[in-house]
Amino acid sequence: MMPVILLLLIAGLVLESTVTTLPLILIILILATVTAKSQSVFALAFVFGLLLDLFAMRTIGVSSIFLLVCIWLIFLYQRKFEIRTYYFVFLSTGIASFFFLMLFSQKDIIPEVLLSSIISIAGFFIFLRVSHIKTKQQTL
Amino acid sequence: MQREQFFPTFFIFLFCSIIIIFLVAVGFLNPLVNGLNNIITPIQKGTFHMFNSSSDDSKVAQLEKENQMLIKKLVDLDKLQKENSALRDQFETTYPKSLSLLPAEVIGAPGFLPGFSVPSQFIIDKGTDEGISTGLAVVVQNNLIGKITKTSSTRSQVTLLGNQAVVITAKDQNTQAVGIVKGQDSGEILLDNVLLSDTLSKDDFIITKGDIDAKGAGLPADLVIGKVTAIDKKPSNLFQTAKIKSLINPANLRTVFIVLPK
Repeated sequence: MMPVILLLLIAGLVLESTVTTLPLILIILILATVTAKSQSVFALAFVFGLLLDLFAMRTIGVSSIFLLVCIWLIFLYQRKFEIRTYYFVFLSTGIASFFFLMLFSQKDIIPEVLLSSIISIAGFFIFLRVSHIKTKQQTL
Repeated sequence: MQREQFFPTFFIFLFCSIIIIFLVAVGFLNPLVNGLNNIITPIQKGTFHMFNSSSDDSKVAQLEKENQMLIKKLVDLDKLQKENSALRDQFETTYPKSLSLLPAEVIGAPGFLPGFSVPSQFIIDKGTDEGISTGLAVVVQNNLIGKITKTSSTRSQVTLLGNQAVVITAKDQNTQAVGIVKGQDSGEILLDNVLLSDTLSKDDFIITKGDIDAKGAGLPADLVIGKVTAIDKKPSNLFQTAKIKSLINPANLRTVFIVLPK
């Protein structure tokens, strides 16, 4: 799972720093947190936050802090509630994207938040399908 | 996973991020950041060109270029005529000094979603190493397209005229009516704060009034901002406004020029 997440993050980084302001790194990291539930996501958030700042010419370290706090909040939330749901993915991506875009983009926030949430739902759907197929193969 | 397990990991990375922000702020990491910038710039350039490979050789693009050249000639001619008449009136006149231009390649347009939005910022492949500083004008021919707002050693951020962060003093080329050019959220350009007593006409060219600081940096005068497309003049308002259409489509730009201080 991790190599796929890494590849997606690299693609997201390149796209986010050149052609779009959609918070692709944030979306991928939220999906990685929800699906993998591994502490290594913190390391990914730290590294890709720094790279994102370098690419986007922001103060280096600011995105890392934002991404780390987002993931930390998701981990806190999952102690009491189920996070592997479409509602959670949709809402968490929407809220996190809203604050991310407020901080770093300040343009077309609402459409981009909606688009981010839709992308995350689509990504989550694909993940569920893939893991379902894998489970089926293992059972057989 | 319990809170106790993930909290130390979170805290370590958070602490590292804060340390990095501090080290960058004091300039301790500048050599490293510059080195990374040198690696990142070609990657960013390659990706940007890959996603923006519109055919520059198309007939529309050629006609657009031709049109821009003709408009440039028209503005230059008008400027020459005004200079000639000024020469007759007085013995000395200031000729427009040749501007020192630095070509730069567009390597990024954050926020630009082709078909959905217009670019409001560019990342270019020249930085402080080439003498670029914030506030410098960015032009294509004699058309102003934006200002430098952020710099690193090898790259700079250009905020385009359609961005609401850009505010420039401008004037009508024909009537000399002065106003303030502001970017709008939608990427449109608005000429605001024009006195009701001043005259604005449709299709007039709006040019920069000039805003050069003591070091010679800033916006030179007489750069074309765009053409008036609509005027909003109401007697009840304090000022009149006009919508301006830039002669340059920033989505098609690959190379821009930075006006360096003399």
